[in-house]
Amino acid sequence: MRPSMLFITLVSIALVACDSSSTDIDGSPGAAGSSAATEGNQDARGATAPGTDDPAPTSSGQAASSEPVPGPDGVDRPGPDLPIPEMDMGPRAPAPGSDPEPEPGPNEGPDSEGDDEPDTAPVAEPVEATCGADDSPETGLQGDSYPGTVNCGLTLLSELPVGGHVQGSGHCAFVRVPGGAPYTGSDIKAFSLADPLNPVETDEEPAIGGSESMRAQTADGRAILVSGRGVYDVSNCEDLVKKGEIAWPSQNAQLGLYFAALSSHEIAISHDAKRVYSGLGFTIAHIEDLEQPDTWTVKNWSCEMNKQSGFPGQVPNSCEGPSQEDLGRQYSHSSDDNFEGTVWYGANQEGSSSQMEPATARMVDISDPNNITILDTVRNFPGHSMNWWRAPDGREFIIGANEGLGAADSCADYPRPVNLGNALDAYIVEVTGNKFGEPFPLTLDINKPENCQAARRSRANASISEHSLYNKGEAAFVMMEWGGAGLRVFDLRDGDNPKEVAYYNDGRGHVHSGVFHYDDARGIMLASGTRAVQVLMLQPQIIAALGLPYPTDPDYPYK
Amino acid sequence: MNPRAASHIKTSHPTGRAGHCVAIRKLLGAALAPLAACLLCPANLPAHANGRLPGATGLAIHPTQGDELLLGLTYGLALSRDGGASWSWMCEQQIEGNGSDVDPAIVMTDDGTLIVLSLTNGGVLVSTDDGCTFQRAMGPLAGHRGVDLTLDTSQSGRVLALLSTIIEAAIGGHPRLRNLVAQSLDHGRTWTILAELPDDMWGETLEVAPSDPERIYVSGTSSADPLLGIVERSDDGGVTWTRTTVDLPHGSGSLFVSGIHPTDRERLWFRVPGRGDIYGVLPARLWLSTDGAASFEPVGDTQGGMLGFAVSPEGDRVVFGGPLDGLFVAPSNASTAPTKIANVQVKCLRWHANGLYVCADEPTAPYSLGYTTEPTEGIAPLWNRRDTCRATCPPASPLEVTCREPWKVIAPLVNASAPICGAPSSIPDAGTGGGLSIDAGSTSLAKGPDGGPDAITAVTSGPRPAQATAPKTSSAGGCTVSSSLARAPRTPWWLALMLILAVRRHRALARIRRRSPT
Repeated sequence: MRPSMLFITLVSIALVACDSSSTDIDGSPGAAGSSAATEGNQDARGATAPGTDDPAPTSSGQAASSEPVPGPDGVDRPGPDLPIPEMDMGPRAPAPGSDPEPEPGPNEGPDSEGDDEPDTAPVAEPVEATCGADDSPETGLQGDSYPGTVNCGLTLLSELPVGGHVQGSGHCAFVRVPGGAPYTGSDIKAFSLADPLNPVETDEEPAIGGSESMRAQTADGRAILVSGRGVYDVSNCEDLVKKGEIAWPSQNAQLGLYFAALSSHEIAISHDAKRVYSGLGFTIAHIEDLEQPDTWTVKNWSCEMNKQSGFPGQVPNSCEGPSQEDLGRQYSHSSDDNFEGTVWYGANQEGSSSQMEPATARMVDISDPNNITILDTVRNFPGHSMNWWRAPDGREFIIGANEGLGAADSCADYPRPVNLGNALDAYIVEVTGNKFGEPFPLTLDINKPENCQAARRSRANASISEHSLYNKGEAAFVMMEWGGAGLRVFDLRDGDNPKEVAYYNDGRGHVHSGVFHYDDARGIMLASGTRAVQVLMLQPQIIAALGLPYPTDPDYPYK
Repeated sequence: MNPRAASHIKTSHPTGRAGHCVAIRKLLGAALAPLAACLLCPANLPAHANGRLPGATGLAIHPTQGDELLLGLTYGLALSRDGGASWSWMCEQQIEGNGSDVDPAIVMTDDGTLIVLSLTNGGVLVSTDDGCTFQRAMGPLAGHRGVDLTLDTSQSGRVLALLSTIIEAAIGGHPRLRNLVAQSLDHGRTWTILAELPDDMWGETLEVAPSDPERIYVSGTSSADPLLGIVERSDDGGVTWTRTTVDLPHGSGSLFVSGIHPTDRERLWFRVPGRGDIYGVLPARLWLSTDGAASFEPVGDTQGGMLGFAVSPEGDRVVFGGPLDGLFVAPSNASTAPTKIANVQVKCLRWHANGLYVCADEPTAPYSLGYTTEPTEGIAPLWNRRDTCRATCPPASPLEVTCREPWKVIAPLVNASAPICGAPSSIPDAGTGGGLSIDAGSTSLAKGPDGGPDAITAVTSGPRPAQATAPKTSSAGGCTVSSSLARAPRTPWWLALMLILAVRRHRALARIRRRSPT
């Protein structure tokens, strides 16, 4: 056993040992083994009596052993908890900036690189996620509105002094500062987080073109950042190097109307960082040779998708004309591929007069660069956000969600509408064997019908716009931008039973379509913010609970 | 089906798929209008779901009180009860917009009730207190996708709704839809199903003949072939229906009933746009039927989309236009060709006994809502984006609570002058600088520095709402501020750029048309 593995084990033991005195993620004490007691309508937060919809989100429901105490912001806090014990860090990892990487696991994805030995916490006996001693957990319904900051398992380390979409690679964060038109950025800034408590800006490049968010991908031997048309090499993450521009076919994009562009409205990067996928339609930019952007090609598959999906060819621009890239059926917004890059997953947000179908997800065989084939289709699965993952047991899933203004009616029972505007819930469906399973919704307690009156009273606005996924080794978790409920982290290793393990919500919200990034070498989670980008630390017990490699940064956990 | 959630709550496996999928339009194209707005929007503009910049897209007018106006916006609604002298704003969240670039259908009934078709949750939203609160009316509308609302002006409180919902969407097959015509006789509070139409149609529009409330038209296209237009006509108030089909031109795919003659129920106009062309960039046609939709005659077209159409109150003229083509007027009997009367980027048109209302895009146009008693004599600004303000409602009203945060985003975008309607303007009254200006106490408008053809000319004749003729100034009684365009941004570079892009766009569209069969 490597020293780091031993350390992880010790940490796990310590956490389990102190579990009875730590605060469970739902605000109740003694989380371990509590699931059986919290099934059904009984809310583990103790604030909602079974069969009622009248929670008392600020004070009731704490167990006697952990009486709530008023916090400085007037919110009741859980009773005294034992602090997480100081941990023996064991042998020190390489110095900050050297970007140590975790081991590959069953998911031998391009992101996985590094040592030969496993460096992850054992997952055979999952460690229950618990809040840290200094956290301010939600005291009522999961995802409700609370004054001040509520957090569990995530600690704010610092804020980058600019707002916008954030991504990361190595020890750096990249922030796209909003530009003067929708979906554009003025500049992309690079920050070194070698000392995450004291970020340092290291570089800045003009943003080029527009896309709803900005994406980065780090794979074997390469790390790229893409925003709109611009492709940047970030393999030396402190130095943004523009490598070229993608010639998205959309005429609207060429005119600067990115929000109305069927290509480059939104983008996603393949796991191998060699292709960029566009939404709202389906276009693939092949950017294998970063050094020779003149070799890059762009394949617009919208017409072929129209044909294969049965979209009538007679309507405007189905397969002809320069506006073909801007009008017609949508197939994606965000999108994703599998590790091997052979299957692409996308979903539209709604059926419309031109959509001529309900919200629909498709998986497409893209293994042949010159041909695509729709492998399977499933209805009522929205895809403003879209991520694929492979669970430790080899099963594969996608998660997607719509977007909305927060006007969706949480009193609506399931099955709920999945049209645009209904973004209370995410949807998950298994895609193993290139066949869709049956989608099911994933939600927060505040969005459940039985809690809708409480949600109305508190003006809760837990509405999803985006999510980002980490899937390396034995770990799989999703970071969800859940509107007024803030950043929510779900363990996805059991794809049938996602489990929330951490959250951070300071009430300020994130940028629309805010994406996230987790740096496993430092245990840092980056969250897009409107006024500032948050640099958060995933606490050790959550890292253990998620089966993540323990951060190799010698300063972790940061004090 | 139960959701799965929370760290410790185990839920059952799904028992079925998410249900009724409400289909609504999503962004599908581009136009110069939003481009112009984009070019002018402030730096550090936050990315919004729909990406659109603030503007007006539709107008509902009280059926008898012509000075009561409900303006549809890309960011909610604006209401005026005094002919445009003062307006109050309702945010998109309050009326359950979906954050997309489709705006809900709206009507105002004869007791002043506001009715909004919910895009997110279904049903309609009804307000009797000027938008401070909305109540949802659902009943038989539940689970159905609303697509259109219309008033029966002959009967107090009668409102009709068209619902067209996918009920079966087999992979690779044609969808089946439940097409319902519903009606309310009490200003939208309760609803009943008036008729169920065949399931092979995408329902698109619904109209009641002003001269005969028993004559109802529903238009749409075949679910199997979007180039097969369908008109369902009822002569008995919805009890029985007669179908007419018509081949639509290649490259279109939609059929909208756009206006019915005020005294002749057999004479009605159809727009034939590019399907989903909500920005108005694809060619559109105007068809006239003089025999109750038995046959159709082309009477006009636009190179770009035709987002506005209106029939004059007397029924002798029609106006139509779009963002790329400007505003046209024509005799309703099509005896002469349409005449272009303004270059304004038309987003909507309403022709009331008081006069013609025109939605347009600022700052390309000097107004978001313009008004004239006579279309050929120029259009005066009636509402500008910066007139947006929040209504004064009782504390903790839904409007106040729901719209507080959206206001923080919207206010800087529209350069709002006053946060609360009636509050003093936060911007010093204008009166200097370039651009257009309105002389106090008159309707004369001076040409701006561009001297363009759509600069405002005098509006001098005919009746009009008294308030519309007066200069709009900041006052304690309303949210209005000066309508002077002296504060209009003076950024010549964007005008030049916009012109270049306009030319490019036109050329591109022309290339399409040359290549495409007509």
